[in-house]
Amino acid sequence: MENKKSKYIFIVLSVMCIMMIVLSSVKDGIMNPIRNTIGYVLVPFQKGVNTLGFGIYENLKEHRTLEEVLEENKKLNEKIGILVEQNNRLTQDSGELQRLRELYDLDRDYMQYEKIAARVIAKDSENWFQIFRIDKGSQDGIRVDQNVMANGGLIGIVTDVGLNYATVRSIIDDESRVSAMGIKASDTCIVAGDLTLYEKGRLKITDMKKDASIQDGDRIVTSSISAKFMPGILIGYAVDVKEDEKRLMKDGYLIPAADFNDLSEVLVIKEVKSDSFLDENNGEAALNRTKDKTNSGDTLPETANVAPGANVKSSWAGMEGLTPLSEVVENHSADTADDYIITAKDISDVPSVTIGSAESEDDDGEGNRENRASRTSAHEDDAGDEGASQSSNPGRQEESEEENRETETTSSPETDRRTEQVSQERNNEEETVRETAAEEDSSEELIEENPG
Amino acid sequence: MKKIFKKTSLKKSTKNRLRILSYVISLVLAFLIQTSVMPLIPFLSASPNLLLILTFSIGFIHGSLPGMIYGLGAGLLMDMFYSGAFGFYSLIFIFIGYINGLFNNVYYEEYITLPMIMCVINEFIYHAYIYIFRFLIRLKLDLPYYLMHVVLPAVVFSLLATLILYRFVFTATEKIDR
Repeated sequence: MENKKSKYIFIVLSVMCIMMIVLSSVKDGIMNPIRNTIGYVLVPFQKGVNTLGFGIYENLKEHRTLEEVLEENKKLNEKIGILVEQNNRLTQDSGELQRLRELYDLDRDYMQYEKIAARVIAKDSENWFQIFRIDKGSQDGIRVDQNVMANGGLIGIVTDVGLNYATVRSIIDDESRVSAMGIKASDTCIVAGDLTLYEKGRLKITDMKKDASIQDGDRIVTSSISAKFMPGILIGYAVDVKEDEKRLMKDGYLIPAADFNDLSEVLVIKEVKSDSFLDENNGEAALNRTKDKTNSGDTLPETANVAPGANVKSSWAGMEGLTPLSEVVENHSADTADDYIITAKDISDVPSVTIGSAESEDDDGEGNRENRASRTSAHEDDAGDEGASQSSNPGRQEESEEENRETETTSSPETDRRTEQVSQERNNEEETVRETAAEEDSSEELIEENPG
Repeated sequence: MKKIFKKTSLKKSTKNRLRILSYVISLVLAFLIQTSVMPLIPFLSASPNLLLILTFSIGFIHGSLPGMIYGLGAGLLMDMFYSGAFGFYSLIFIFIGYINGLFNNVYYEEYITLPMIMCVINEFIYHAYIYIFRFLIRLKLDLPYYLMHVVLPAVVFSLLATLILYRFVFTATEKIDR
């Protein structure tokens, strides 16, 4: 009877647990209220026990015998001598270091992140997982996916946040995978935690391209393409980089910059990578960003004023290449195919280009016009009505006529020079495209005018 | 939960309350020590799973039902600590509490060998559970390494802790009963 009852309860409880597992894995964060309440009660205790334990440990350290301390004193005195000498040398080096650091923007880059200091209050006691808990939570501004650092290196990522605590998964955890890159050549790779390497104090570097130039001793930082990690945080140093067995990729090991055995205080970076994604999805923010990047003085409305014919619409920044088809067809004479795959980033470059092309109509564009003229020359010859076109557009037409004759009669060195000019301008794609667009426009006019 | 506890137990209600209170306190204390104190000790390469030991001890001494309830409490605490799927640890702790309760009828006072053997078996079940559902499904097949470096130290330390904790549960039960 008793056994049967507990059997039923066991089955009920097990089913309940399985349901909870399924529910919480399908819908993330559904158990957060429960976690929060239990956490709210227990974390102060954890904090207390932790400080108590720490205090006792420190106390034990203090109560060493006098002999030990005396001996240590002797050793330390010897060490001071060495250190003074070393210090002198280092101060000389530090001037050079300062200069090099200024050249090295990346260091400053990740110093810019705003950080929150937090204390580690609990750790997983088993060796299966490398996760720990810190004493700051959502009320201190901690959010999921914030990066955690210590001793100048990446430690992990916040996976779970309560009101007054947060759980952090270390990068040495077996489930951790960090998208990274070498600092020298920015070849991307994956830094994966591995339980079998944990005791050696190493992580695994995988998915490195065969021709990647990452070498032993290179600094490995978080990559800018990572979805969750802020770019440029030092992870560690690459060692034993070599081709894998299949000779398709390279892999190696990484010695982390941070010391994971002695974690008591960590720094949490306030910014979350997904924030920047949100910014980019918002058209205006992206526009402002690109403006800042290129530092061009022109704002978008001005762009529209300067080059109305270019058909640059402010909405494009948000649409990112999704120009309605009708619009494309309508403005086809003015817009070349290149125009509608323009991205938000390119827009800030537009004014300079359009201005340039407008000006080049007079001087630089000669080669192109000649090109156009030679193309249209066949029509003109057939029509034989030079006077009509001359009267409609006297100055420019005359010029083109001259050029026509030149191309018809002689292949003079001048034309050679001009064709060279053409090929040079072809290199500068955008300009050429714009100019040819303008030409086509005018050439169409020409053709229309010619028969009349 | 408390209601069931009271029904199954045939003792007086004050004794029950005392027992429940002492178990709740031991549960929380074990959790705090396991997560906040043990990892601080630097020379410990692995730390004993106190919650597991308490769960199977109580299951063994008091039967399936108390074992399950204690297991549920311990599992919920562990689930709260980890950020993965909620209920993962509850399931295994309930299971261990229940299974050990089935051996309640071979329970003899003062007999320590059987609990030690059960400790080893329980540890293996627990670690196998974690290995299968968290590592094997990601095709991490380096079983010998895991056995040597994770499971074995944990089993050894747990055995040492069982010597103390089992004794503690045993004497606590006797004192309350008296």
